[in-house]
Amino acid sequence: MLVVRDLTVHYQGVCALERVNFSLESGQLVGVVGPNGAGKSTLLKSMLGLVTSQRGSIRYDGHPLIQQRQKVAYVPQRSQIDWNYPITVKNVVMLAQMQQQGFWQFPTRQARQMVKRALMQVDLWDLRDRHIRELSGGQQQRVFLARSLAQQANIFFFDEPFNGVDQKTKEIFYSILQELKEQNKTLLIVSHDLGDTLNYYDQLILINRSILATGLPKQVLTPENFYQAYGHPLNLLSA
Amino acid sequence: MDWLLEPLQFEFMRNAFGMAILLGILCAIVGSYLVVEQMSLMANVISHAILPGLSIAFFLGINLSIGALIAGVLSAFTVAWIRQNSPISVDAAMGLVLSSFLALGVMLIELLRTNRIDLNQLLFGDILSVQSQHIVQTFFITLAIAIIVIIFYQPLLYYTFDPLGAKASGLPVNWIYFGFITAVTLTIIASMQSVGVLLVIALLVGPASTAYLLVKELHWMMVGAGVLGVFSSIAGMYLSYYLDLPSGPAIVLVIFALFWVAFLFSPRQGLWRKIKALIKHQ
Ligand SMILES: Nc1ncnc2c1ncn2[C@@H]1O[C@H](COP(=O)(O)OP(=O)(O)O)[C@@H](O)[C@H]1O
Ligand SMILES: [Mg+2]
Repeated sequence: MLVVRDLTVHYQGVCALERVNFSLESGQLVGVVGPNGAGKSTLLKSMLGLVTSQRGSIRYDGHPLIQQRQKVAYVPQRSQIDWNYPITVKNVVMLAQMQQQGFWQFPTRQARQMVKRALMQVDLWDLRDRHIRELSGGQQQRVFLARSLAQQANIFFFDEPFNGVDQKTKEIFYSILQELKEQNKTLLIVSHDLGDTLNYYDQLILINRSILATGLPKQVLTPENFYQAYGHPLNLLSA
Repeated sequence: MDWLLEPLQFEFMRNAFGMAILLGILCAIVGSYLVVEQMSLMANVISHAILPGLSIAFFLGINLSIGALIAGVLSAFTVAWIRQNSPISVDAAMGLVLSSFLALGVMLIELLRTNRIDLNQLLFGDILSVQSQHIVQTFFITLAIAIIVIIFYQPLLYYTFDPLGAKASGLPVNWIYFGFITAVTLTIIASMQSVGVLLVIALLVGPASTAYLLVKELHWMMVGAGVLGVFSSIAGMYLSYYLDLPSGPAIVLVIFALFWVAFLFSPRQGLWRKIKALIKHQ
């Protein structure tokens, strides 16, 4: 179980997260929703120690998460990546092997096998030697999904994985998430818009600087909660 | 072929030749990282910021390179520090640090009466005047950096491509940044003698940018930049010898000419290809 207690983050005096408390059960798919600028990316980054928090603790199975980084696969928002970087699809996924074998190792045959399997799972094996710039948005997102699979992590954090992706990518994504759930992984997905996929989730966390509601999707996305988070009443399903 | 071999009977030409090869390799490795990190201007900051270090080292009578190394690394950290602790953008921070270190350097040269530092040599360099001790120094810098990059190729790739992911998976990103800055500063110190402070950025960024247009993997970028850098340095050197041109600018202009060829005719991203596609489309 992953337990977040009292997490508070300030950026140069501006409060981005305030006293956030929640816990994640393994084998559950958990979504974090909230408007742009709500602090969703900040939540993931502070849980991983990528931004410093003013207060709070993050524990996994009773020990600080920061000491168990090799168990985490983190997929940043697509806009954080330089898609002109000189690297091919295969070698992005190959970066995952460092988590398993230590940072100073060259890829072994076993690692190459793992990369191949991950790329097959997301249906990108045929494009393995392409430069990452020469992919569609959905394919780019799947490259990172493949990397997270090759990391063989226990905990998965995805930041806005459905922004501007095609239907095929969404389907592959959710079928893989389903498999990961069955393998009892801890899954946290951040999105400002879960659209018509809400019923895939076991738990939702509605956030805007602090947690406004958490629980089953139906319980969380009531008109009142929604209004409180987004500041306007709207169709729940197309936030 | 005589015209190729004739200059090599002179020791200064042989030295220049050796230096050109070493610098071509060294700048290709370090410059490729600079280009993909989008930190080329940091090289510019460092190359100017070493001046106070040179002056103090000269005053204390210690190895000039040590003073330059300390000042260069310090300037890069000042930029990072301003950025992390204020809303000031990175380009403003770089402008600020570059000019204040430069001003401090000029001031110190005056105050410490170290004005026997040859500013002209410092600013423009001269590959035809390098001595064998510089070549030995550059050889060891190149060797050390090449070995480090080969051993740590994977983590460096991770860090430069996806710094957040790298940090999340526990890579010591602050140490990597420190190592990177040190490598850039050492490279600048090594190249200064040949092309000078003002043009060293061309050696770092030029061949790497040209290669960037031609390949799709970082290690091929380094290899390509190495070939281009060695070729440009040697070609510039010969131009300088036969046409009696200043060597630094000659090298830089060859680098730039090669960049234009790739920019216009690169099979993947060349301008010419795009224009042709456009015409065909209509
Ligand atoms: N590096 C930063 N420096 C200062 N403010 C930031 C930084 N990153 C995010 N913020 C601010 O913190 C708030 C939360 O941002 P973020 O976590 O990116 O939101 P979300 O991912 O939900 O869209 C926003 O108001 C944003 O402007
Ligand atoms: Mg975000």
